[in-house]
Amino acid sequence: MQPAFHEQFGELIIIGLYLMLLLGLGLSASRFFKGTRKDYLLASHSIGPFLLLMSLFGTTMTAFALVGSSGEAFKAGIGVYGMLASSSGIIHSLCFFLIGIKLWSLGRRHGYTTQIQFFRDRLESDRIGLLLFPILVGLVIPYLLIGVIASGTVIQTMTSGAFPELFRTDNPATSGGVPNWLGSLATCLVVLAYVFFGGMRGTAWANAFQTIVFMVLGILAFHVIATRLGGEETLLENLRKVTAGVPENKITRIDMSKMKFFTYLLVPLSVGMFPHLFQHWLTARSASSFKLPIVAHPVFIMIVWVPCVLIGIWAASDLIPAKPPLPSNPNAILPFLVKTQTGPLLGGLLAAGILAAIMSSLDSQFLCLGTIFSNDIVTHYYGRERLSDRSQVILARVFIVAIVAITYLLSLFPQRGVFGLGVWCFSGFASLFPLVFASLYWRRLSKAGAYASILTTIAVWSVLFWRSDFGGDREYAVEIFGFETMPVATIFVCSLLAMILVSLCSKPPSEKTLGKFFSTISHPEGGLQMGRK
Amino acid sequence: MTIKNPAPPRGRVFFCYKPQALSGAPLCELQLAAYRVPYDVEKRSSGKRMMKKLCMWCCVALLLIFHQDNWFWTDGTLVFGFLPIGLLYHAGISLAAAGLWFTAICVIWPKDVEYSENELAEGSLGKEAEL
Repeated sequence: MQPAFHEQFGELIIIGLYLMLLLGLGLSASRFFKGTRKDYLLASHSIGPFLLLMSLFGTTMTAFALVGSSGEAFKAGIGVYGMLASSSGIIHSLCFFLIGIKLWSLGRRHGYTTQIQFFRDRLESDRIGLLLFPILVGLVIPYLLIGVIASGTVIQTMTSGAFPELFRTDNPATSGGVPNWLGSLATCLVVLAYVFFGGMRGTAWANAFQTIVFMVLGILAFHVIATRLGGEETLLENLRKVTAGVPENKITRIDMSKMKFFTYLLVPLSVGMFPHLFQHWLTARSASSFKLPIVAHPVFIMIVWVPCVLIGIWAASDLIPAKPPLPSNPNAILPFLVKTQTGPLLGGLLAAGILAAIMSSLDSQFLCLGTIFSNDIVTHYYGRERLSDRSQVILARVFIVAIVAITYLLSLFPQRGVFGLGVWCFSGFASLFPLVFASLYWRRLSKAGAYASILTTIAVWSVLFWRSDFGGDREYAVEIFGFETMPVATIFVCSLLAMILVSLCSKPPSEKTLGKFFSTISHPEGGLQMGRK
Repeated sequence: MTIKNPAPPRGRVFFCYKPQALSGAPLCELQLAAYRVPYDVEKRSSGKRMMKKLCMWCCVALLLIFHQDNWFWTDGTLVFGFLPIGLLYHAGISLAAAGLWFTAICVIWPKDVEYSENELAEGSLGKEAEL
């Protein structure tokens, strides 16, 4: 029997409408574009507290926040919340407070657009840019690939059955769905369109909208799934009934290593070194704009993660129907539950929510990589004075198109291990955290110390990555004194020690640089410096 | 009676009434007192601020220690019949983090990062890298 039209195409229509809406929003942001490089890349430092909160939160919460959180909770239980979410609540805000505000202030004063500009200036080294450039790009690309591939998978899963003849596959969960390559292409084109035309302003607006979408839809999915699985009259009764059937190892952390849990605390420090967050920080209108993101970020994480973790552990309960069987891939748990427990309307909306989470990270990363290429390589070496403001905007746009095209093409190749790379990317960024922290707070950090820190990070990261079967061993841990620790702990400590030791043994930065970065910007009473002549 | 200008204190001096104090010209005792008192006041308030900072960072460290909740590791209690206690505890950690950061921005918000309206309006900021 032919399914009803709304059942067959419901999800597809909602996803299509959502993408169109997003496109419209991004394009309308372009009407405010002033035509300058500063406006295109930094929204003329006009972003207020609310938009800053939404864009920072949307950027740091990837697809993993919705799909991965429920999948990991299904696999490992509630410990996932402590390991990934509550730790991020503390550490991300710490990074905004200690690193974000200070970098905003220096960036505003000295006119930085990218991290590399800041490090070149602070470390008095032009070549540090050439060293950092491939590292930053290399660590962001797998992160981008995860988003692009995940968007294709989500669209295919949620639209399965829409075109049974046209897109037939062997897997019944995806058969008839819009194929991966097409879903990823549609996502890339929508993101490209609003980043291309709207620049940073379009990105911030789209991020704010998408963050609201995925937060609201996450809570809605939680309510509907609890009601359908429980089948009782009130929400509380449903919650009790569903949770009663969850195995004990999912509501405790008996299967989780305490030391791994502890050392995972270092992973969220990656936020301090994300190049795309640096660019977002610089969009702030004032330092006070950071106050709302600093306070609200942990609460927002809680609002998104607690329902998703609960949905994840419910998937392990005996109330889940035996047919159709649960997917073997934990990341497919949430889309699967939505597909089987809700109607096409909510299914389509939730798919839009997952895409929102994915795209709100992709846009910032595309924009950031385009900015790094145009600003730190081409303009830097060709000469800024030889390029007009307008030419620099065009150059940034050309690079953004190129980055999107390259990422999309890479996503078409089989990417078996790319999802395992996520934590390695974060570990790499987190291990460079001592560098950014010291460059802001330690006068003695020298150029040689910075090189030592970066090279040590590369060396130790590469060795551990190789030992983990290039990310293939998802449970890989470094054993220290009989305790299992996350690889990030080893890389972080080595990077920190190298930086301190080499800095202390090498020539300190010049007085001029120290004056530029460490003299106070405005003294409380407009006072005078008497410490030195 | 006039005395020689005192040796400048080490580090930063925040306040000075008279440009004379820097010019090397001799100061009278009255001028010297006026120079010293605000410096002491500032030194005290700077000391207080340091204490506040120290307390705040101790609280952050404490929260990170509480984050490692070995005490609920194997406790399968369901609060309200549906919420695992370990999850509730960590949701509480998230709320505590928000409270802590709220306190931090009230108590130790950095003074030297904000720009005046004039500086922002003049557009003088950020010109350096553009040149």
